Amino acid sequence: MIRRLIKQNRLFAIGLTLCAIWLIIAVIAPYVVPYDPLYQDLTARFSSPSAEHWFGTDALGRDIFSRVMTGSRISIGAGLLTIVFAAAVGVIYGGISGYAGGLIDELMMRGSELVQSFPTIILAMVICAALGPSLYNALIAMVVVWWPNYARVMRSMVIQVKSNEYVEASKSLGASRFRIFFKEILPNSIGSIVVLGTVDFGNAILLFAGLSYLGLGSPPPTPEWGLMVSEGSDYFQHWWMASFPGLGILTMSMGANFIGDGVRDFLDPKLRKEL
Amino acid sequence: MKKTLLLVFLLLLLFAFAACAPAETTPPDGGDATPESEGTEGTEEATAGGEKQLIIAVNPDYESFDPAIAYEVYGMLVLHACYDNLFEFQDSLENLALGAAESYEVSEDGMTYTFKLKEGMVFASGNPMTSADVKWSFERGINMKGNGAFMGDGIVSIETPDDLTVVIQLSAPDPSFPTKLSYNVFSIMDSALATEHGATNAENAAEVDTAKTWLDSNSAGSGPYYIESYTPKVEVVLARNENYYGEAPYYDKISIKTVVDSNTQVMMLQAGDVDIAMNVDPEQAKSLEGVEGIEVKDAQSLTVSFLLMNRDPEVGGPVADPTVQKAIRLALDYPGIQTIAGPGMVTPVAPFPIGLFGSLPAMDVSEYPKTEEALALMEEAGYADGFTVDFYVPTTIVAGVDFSLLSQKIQSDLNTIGIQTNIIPEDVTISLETYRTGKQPLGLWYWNPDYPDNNSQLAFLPGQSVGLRANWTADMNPELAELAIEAASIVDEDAREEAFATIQEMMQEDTPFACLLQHTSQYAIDSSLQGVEYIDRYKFDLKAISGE
Repeated sequence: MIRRLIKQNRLFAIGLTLCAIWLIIAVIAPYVVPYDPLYQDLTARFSSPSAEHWFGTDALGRDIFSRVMTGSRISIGAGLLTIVFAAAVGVIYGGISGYAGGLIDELMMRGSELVQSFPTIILAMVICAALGPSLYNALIAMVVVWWPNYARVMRSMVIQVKSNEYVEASKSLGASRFRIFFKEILPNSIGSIVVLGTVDFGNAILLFAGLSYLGLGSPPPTPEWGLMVSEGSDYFQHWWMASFPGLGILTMSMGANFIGDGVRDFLDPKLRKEL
Repeated sequence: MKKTLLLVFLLLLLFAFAACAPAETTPPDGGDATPESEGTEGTEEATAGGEKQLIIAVNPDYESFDPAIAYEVYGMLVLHACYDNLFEFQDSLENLALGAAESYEVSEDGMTYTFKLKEGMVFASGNPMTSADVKWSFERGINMKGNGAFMGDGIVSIETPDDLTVVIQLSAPDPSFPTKLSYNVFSIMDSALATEHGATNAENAAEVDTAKTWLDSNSAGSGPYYIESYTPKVEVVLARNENYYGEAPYYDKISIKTVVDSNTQVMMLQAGDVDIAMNVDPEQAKSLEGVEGIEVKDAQSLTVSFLLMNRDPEVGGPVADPTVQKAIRLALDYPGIQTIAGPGMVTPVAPFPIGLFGSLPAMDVSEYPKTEEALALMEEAGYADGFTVDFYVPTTIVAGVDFSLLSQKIQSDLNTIGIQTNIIPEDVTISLETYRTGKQPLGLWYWNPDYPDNNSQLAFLPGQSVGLRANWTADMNPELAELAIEAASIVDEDAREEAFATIQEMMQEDTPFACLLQHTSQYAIDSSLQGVEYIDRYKFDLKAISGE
């Protein structure tokens, strides 16, 4: 499938390459970076990009190249964890809601709408600010604002699947509700969740960068991209301080978005026609 | 597909845009995007009607222009232009001169001050200024119980034998009293006008006075200007007081615009939209060097940044150990800290700013960091393996120095002697709470003297207000605690100087504070301006500024 996708869809190929590169960097970063990302060299403050410091240095003389490389670990980690946890919560919540139906369904869906009625970034900021800025709190906030998407998709899938004949058959064979849910319904609905997760990955990275830009992510001196952009934006004359971590965010989220789009187009024939 | 692509790019564009906006803001258009305001159309002196206007861009903190309440750093920039005091600083903090008073006498025991007011002074409203106004204003200042009201603590009585004489009786001699009188709590108000708008000098003024709202956008003083309008977060407009007793100031109007972001301030100055950019960070100052028509000037402040180390073992843990605190003071890389903060920085030996009477000369930082000595002390204290501690940092910029940056430098310095710190960035208003109640094990803070006299710095001593924020109680160093109380009322200059020197020497041995910096910041002006002098108390004496 992937091979066919790459052939048909250039953007998907680009996205895959970008993400693969970042993934590799994230894995090998601690072994290959030229400097300790936290090492301060005050004599080399604000050095512009050179052979010594490929991406220049920041206000404390830290090597930005090393910081951007190391920062990819945090961004990718945060994006993945958010999606996985949000999907887990959403699948269970939406699954129960769709499978149970009736009044329970109504109540549970109103509950998820309650969360969705707030603008994502605002709600995430409120939660972060209330819990205090830290990496874990930022993750919690992101999961809290993210899961309803998955719950809604899961619910609609479950409602669709549960009227299928094989579910009826299983029921008439005397299978328990529990068994039906896990053996019949879940495997047949999970596909869309995976697609949604892929599409969302880029957005999750963007949201996380946004939060840490606002000072609500991991506290300094963590080499986090959003935080680095925020530090760098105080110094217009030293363009490299904000540009390189910004470029990191750009390529990473763009790559993830291309993959997501590719996968969705492939699986959704209606959209594919448009192309 | 195309749609999503577009969306992705839009998102990124949005993000890039957000990246350019100031970090902590009221909307970025606070100052620069008010095309219809009078400021932009008439930038320099040449306004449509030939009106001369001065425009200043600042990132201010003022909340109120009620002289009895205002206590913010930038409050007196406006208030000093609108009100007169018995004493005022002229040109610099070294020159405390008589303001509304013609002359004064101090009794032998230093406890009775007799002032003669200048004759024929009138308020902007046209009402004459009498000794009754002075008494009324002082009483209101004290009874409103604002943050600055404590400066009137020593006043026992205020009498007015005749229209031009004021006699103030103190409970104890106070060498800093004339300095205190230059503060806005003691600004002389037009009592008739203020009373009309709900002001009162009654004992319970704090509850019954209703003039604050009116005073926020109006003034009732006799200064060279009066407040014409105030739009919070946008601008304050001052207009010339035609009844002013002194020489008429050059400008007809002064507009003090709120521009939060210093980059924007500089851009506005370069575009000629403003005449003065108050908050220029060191890096921008460098880039402005040699630009024609713009002059960058130093603003030597009395603001001191320091590291607070709690003395209470329950709060501070290992940090509470005086030996560890001494080690921390030795381990700090002061030259590096000064480099980060920018040009013109000094480090006082104790929290007594250079430039005030009785302060010792600045620390010789070239020997620091003394890591070896610090490590030895850590071992002596039993923490050879180090420890981990929470480090509270308010997210703020003090005189161009980003506290987040400074805290990361300190973190790396403490690392060299095995102390791991978890930086906890907090909004200033939130962090102030735990700081004031003494709940921060390690904190990065700044202090701006309430009045430019070292008596206000005695707060750092054991048992005094700031000392107690580090839980440094009087019994931990009884000798210093005693000295703090004694030094406050020594009138004789030599004895006073000696007492302060002793205090500072003792504080180098034992104190829960590590002085980091005395701040110097930069501001930039249109170089055609004259008479722009930085006086920390007021920032600028607005009446002295002229365009020729």
